[in-house]
Amino acid sequence: MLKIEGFSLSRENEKFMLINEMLIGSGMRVNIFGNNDTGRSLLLRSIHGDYYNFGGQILIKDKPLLFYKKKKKTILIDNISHLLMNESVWKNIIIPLPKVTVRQKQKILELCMTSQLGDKIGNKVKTLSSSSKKFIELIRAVIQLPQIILVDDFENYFDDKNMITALEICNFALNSGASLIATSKRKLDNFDTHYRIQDNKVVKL
Amino acid sequence: MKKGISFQIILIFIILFGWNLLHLGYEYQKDVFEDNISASPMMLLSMQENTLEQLKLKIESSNYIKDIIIIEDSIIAQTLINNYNLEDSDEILRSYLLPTAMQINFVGEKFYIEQKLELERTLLEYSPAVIHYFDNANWQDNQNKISFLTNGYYIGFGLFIIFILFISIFLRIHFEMKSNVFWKIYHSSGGQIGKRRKQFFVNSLYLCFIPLILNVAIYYALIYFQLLHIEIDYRFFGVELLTLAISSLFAGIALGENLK
Repeated sequence: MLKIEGFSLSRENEKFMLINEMLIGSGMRVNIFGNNDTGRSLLLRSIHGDYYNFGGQILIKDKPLLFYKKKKKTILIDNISHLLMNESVWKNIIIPLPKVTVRQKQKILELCMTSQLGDKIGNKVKTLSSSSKKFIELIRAVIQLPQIILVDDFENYFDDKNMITALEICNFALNSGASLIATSKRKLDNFDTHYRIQDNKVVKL
Repeated sequence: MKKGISFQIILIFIILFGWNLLHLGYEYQKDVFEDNISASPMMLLSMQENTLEQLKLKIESSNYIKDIIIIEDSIIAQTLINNYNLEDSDEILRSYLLPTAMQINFVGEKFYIEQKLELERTLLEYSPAVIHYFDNANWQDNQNKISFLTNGYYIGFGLFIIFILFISIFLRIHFEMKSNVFWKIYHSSGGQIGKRRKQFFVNSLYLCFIPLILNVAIYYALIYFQLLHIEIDYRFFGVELLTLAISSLFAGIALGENLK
C-alpha cells in the first residue's frame, strides 16, 4: 500500500525524520511516536501531498504522489478542527459524500452509535466536546474508504476508552483495505506496527 | 439550490425584467412618434394626371412609402360638393378645371431625413408641373422626439449593462467568499478535487439561464395571450445572456485561486 524510501526532512541544513524504508500494507494500523518537533506532522502532510519539501520518495500502490494530485486517496485528520460549527453532526459527516447511499447511511448511524453520537446526530457541532468532534471527523474519513487515514496526535483527543472506540470505528475502513497511520507522543496500544522517532531517525520496533 | 444562488437568481430576474421594460417602453413610445409621421401624408397636385402616374411608378417601390392614392379631378369636385353642400353650384363647379391629386402615405419607422431628401430630390425633377404640400414641422418635431428618445434608450441600455455586471459580479464574489470556509472543510475532509470549480460553473448556468428563461417565458406568454403588442427582437435576449455570461466569467477570473 504505502512505500517510503530514503525519506528526509530538512531544517536549516539539518536533516531529520530520516526513513530508510517504510512499508505499510493494507489494513494495517501503524503508530509513529516521538517527541515534539521531530517532524511527525510534516511526515503525515508529506504522505497526504500537502508538503513537498522532502527528500526521497513516497509511493502509494507503487505510484508517486503526483499521480494522486487530482484524486487524493488519503485523508488527514490534524489538530485543527475541520467542521462547520453551526451545522448538525449529520451534515458534517456527509459533507464530502457526493450522494449518501442507504448502506452509507446505515453505517454512519452505526458508527455514530458506537461513538456515543447516536442521539446527537441532529445537534449542532458547536455544542459537542472535542473528542466528539474528532469522532465526527474520524467517521467522515472512514465512511469514504480512503487508501490511508492519517491521524496526527491521536492521543490528544481520546482517552484510553475512547481510543479503543476510535480504533473500532477505523476498523470499518481497515477491513476494506485501508491503512491507518497515527502519530503520537507516546507509544499507543492496539496498533499492529510501531515506529519510534529517535536521533532524527525513524526506527521500527 | 442554496439561498445565495436563489437570491441572485431573483435579483437578476428583477433587473432583467426592468431592462425588458425599458426596451418595451422605448419601442412603445417610438411607435407613437412613428405613427404620428405615418398619419401625416404628403399631398401632390398636378394638372397632368400622367405626370403623377409617372411619379407614382418611380417612387412606389421605395420601402418608406406605405401607399400612394391618386385622386382624379372629378372625385375632387365631388368631394368638394359633398363636403361644402354645393349641390346647387354643381354645374358651375364641374365647369372648372381642377387638378389631379396624389396622396402619399409614409411608413413612419422608415421615413427619416435621408428618405425625405431623396423624395424631395425626385419631386424637384417634376417641378413646377407638380406641387406638393407636407407638414414639415410635424415631421421634424417627431424626428426630434425619436432622436431624443433613442439617445435616452441607448444611455439606459448602457447603464443597465453596467448595473447588471456590477451587481452580479459583486454578489457572486460576495457569496463565493462567504462559502470559502465550507469549501475549505469540504476539501480537507476528503471531498472531490475540482468540485468547487464544477459547482461554480453549474451555478453560472443557473444564474445565466433561469432569470433569462423566466423573462422570455413571460414575454412570450404576454404575446401569446395578446396582452402585449410590441415585439422584442430576439437578439435583445442574446445581449442579456451575453451580459450575464460575461459577469460570470469576470467573477470566475476575480475569484481565481479561491475556486480550486
